[in-house]
Amino acid sequence: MAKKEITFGKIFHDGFFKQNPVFVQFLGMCPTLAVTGSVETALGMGAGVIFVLVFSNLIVSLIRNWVPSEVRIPVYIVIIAALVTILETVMQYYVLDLYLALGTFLSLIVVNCLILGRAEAFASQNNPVKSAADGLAMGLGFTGGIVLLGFFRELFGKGSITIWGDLGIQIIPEAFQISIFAQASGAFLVFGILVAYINKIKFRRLDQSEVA
Amino acid sequence: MEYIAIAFGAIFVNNVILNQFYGICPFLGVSTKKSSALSMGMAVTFVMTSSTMIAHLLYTRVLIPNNLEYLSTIIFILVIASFVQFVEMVIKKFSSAIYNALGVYLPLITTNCAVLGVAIDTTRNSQKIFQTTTPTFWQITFYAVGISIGYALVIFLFSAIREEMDAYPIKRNWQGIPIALITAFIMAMIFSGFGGVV
Repeated sequence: MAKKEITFGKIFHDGFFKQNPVFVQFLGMCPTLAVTGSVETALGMGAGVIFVLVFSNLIVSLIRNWVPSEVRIPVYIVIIAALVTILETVMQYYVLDLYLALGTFLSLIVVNCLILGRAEAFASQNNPVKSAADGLAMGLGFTGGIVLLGFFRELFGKGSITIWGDLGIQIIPEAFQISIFAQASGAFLVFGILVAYINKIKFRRLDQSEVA
Repeated sequence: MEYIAIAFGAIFVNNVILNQFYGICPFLGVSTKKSSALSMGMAVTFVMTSSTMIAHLLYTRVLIPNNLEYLSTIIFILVIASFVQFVEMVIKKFSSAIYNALGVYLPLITTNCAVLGVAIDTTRNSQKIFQTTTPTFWQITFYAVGISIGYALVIFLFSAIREEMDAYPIKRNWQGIPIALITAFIMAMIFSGFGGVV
């Protein structure tokens, strides 16, 4: 292949900013909206996605030369579903509260387009080490995005930031909370405003680079 | 009466898109035109209702007697994927008119998390919806029909709003996804008004 070799720096820069799964590619939006009611569930979901994404990229990359291209999508789905089943079992055993808080969305990692998308677009064409790095970068970018969303929703909706269990802080007193942010509809509002703001920064940079 | 309450609750109160956040990707992706939203809604209605019934039968008749509940995720996704393939082949064989209208949307449904989400919600996580771990077949069926009608209804209404919105000037950074999300926010607020009905 005459394609230019992709460096680790570029992989991580893409994962965090240029190709951020949440704010630029809009992949895996169901969990983005559903589990961002608090920072804690967002972190838990992010950890789960990182685990599945790193290992699915690694396995897909290892077997990429043996799988015929006609059946590759079903093979990828089975690999991802097996990893999610492992994740469910482990989480149910060790962190039951988080398992119950995430509910069905933990199983829905199987159909998260981000994971299948990276398997198809990156891991099926690159070596295992770089694929695992890509999985980690995209997973961290996804986690960063949903934690940011969870931060704003929890801050305005409940007035507090809880990182894990009792490790939290009450910032806004109870009388000034706006409960709509923590409810289902608030997810659409916060996400829409954040995307519009990020677009604004993006367009401003584009304009500057055109002038210069 | 009980079944009507289940169906009404599934369409409006627990609306699959606006309240449970299932199937957001096609909701935003396929809703720019009314005709494509209608096709997508019909395809989802058919696949979701049938696959939920299949998943329920599989879960109660095969997985539970053999203590294989932990395999439900992997089995459901395989059943849904093969069912979608099967439906696509049947439609292609018997009616080219329906195939031309729905064909493009059928493969997309495999990765529509609403289908897998409802299948899991009605089996393994049924406690939350039916207040019982062993809901009957008819309860499940009415719930699945209600959920799918709710999906089709919301995606169609949303596409109608988005078609109208094309006529108005919108700031560059709000075009596309951001303004669609704000529209969805307003619709979600309206639908949350149904909360006290059932």
